[in-house]
Amino acid sequence: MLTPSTRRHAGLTITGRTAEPVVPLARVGSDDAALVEGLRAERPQAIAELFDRFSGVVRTMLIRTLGSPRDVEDLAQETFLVVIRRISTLRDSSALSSFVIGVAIRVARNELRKRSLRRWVGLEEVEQGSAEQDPVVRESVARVYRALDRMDATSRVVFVLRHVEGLELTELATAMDVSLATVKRRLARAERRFEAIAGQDPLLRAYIGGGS
Amino acid sequence: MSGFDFEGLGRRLREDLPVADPGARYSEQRLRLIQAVARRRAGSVRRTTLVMGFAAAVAAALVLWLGVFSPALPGGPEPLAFEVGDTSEPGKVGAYYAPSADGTLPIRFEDGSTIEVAKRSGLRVSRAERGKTALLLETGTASFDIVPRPGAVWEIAAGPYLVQVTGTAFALSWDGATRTLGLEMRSGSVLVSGPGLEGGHRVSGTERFAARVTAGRIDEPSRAAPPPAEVPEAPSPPAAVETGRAPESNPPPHGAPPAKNTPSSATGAMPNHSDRGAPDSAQRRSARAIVDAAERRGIGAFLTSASADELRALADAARFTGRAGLSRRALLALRSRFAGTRPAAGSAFLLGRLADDGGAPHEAIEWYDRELAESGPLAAEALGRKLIALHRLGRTNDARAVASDYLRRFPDGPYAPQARDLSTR
Repeated sequence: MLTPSTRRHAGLTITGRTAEPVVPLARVGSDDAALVEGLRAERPQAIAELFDRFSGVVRTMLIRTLGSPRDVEDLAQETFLVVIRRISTLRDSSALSSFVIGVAIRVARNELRKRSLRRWVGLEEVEQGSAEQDPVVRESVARVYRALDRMDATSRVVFVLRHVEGLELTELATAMDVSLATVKRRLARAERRFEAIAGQDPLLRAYIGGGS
Repeated sequence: MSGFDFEGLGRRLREDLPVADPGARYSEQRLRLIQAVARRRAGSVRRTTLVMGFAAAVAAALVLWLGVFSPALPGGPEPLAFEVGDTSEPGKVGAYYAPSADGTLPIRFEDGSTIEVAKRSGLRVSRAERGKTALLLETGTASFDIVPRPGAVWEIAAGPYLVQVTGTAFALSWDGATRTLGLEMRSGSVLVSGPGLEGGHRVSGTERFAARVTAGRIDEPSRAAPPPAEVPEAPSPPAAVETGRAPESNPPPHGAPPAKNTPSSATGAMPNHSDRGAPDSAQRRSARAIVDAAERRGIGAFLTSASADELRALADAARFTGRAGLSRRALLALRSRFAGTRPAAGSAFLLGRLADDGGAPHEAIEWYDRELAESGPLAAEALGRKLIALHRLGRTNDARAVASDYLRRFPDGPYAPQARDLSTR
């Protein structure tokens, strides 16, 4: 962010090729308030900082929720674009992390619904997993996500964020903008559903139990 | 209570799922986000322009009042800060920027505008202010994506030429050895001025433009206006710029006499139409004559009775004179009556271009697919145009797949730069 004072300081003798160098781009402060302010103004530096701070979290969350890195770059971009577009609705800048995660959850949930629809009409490809992976591990992971595919998008997201991402229930409630009781209820329902599906699969039971 | 070890499941999945490491694509993704926001903002500015008209008039009056009655504002022009490279080094006005041997060099401006300096190229930012930014392309090629801002002027000097930009995306090259300027538009428009272009030449849309200065004389600048010059006899790679011919110049109608005052293409197979804007050019007169002749016979009768060569000539002439509908009818008749003949070769691609130019990208893609399925002589162009159309439709993943296919099949093809750009995003 260039402040008026730095602009005045920087903008003196810029002529031709021998001009004085401009003052370096001042960095948006690392605190959430400054970052939110920069995002509201859509300053490129603030956008870059948003990406720097959250791209790892968002990408990881999307991969773990969806079960593969396919399209994750596009979905991460979509997440950040929505964050920037809706940043004016964020009242408390200290809740920026939850806000970003909340948007990523919605993006993941929408993607799951789209994939579910595509699967239903036979257009969704089956994930093959990484060729370098141990075949048994690859098959086990695939079966976990096939089991998750049979759950509704909300249950799946709650389940993954709690058990794979390791989010606390309170964090989940904030990110999903629901009460703690609702999160607990949804998680219990998701666990029951997963257990009912996965319990009949010996390979999955072995995988969950630590064997392969 | 569940008998499942969900904690153990989560731990195993964390170990076994792919890691979220964007690696070398990290900077690209970050830049992509900044550009996307800038584009959205620019679009929003355009939409609100009319609504804000009255407010702007009031503001202008206020500024005028302040200018008259208030003391002069301190300080000089407001600088436009910029960063260079993946490490985001602060940019310096006047410095010379060139990428390392194995890559390109991004330059990002505070307003969201970006430049990518290609390999073996060099560029200098000679002025960077919010009101005016001036660049000097000393050698090679650079891609520009300029975010439009009210009152902002961007100028790029390349050799003796000057490119004036408002808001647009394009690639510009300057070859000092051959004194050749090359311009490939992606969107928006620019005004090119320089030797032989004193009045300025506007280049827009997806046109390509080339001009060359040689030994005390100036070659007539060549430009391509839609519809472009993909003709079976002379598919034109970008290297044609070196001949003084635009990579996608507009051909004269099939069967029409070549113009005496225009240079031929590198292959010599098709004469070059280098000045589409000249209303009395021989090509234009020939094209009109062909269309007139067909109309005198009656278009319906012509389409059902003309030979394959005549139909192809009418299709080209109609396209050349801006009669897209007539060109389409002639091409469809050609395909229907003379499928598999030489005059019909490439007709699917040309129908695709007509659809593309007419704002029907889905139909265009279907025609490009037909050209590919028929292994037509313009398959490379069809695949290239298909990836552009998919990208414009926002079907990024499909476009990427086509880009990979294109690079595998035509690594040196005319759309290879766009394909590489897409496949690395």
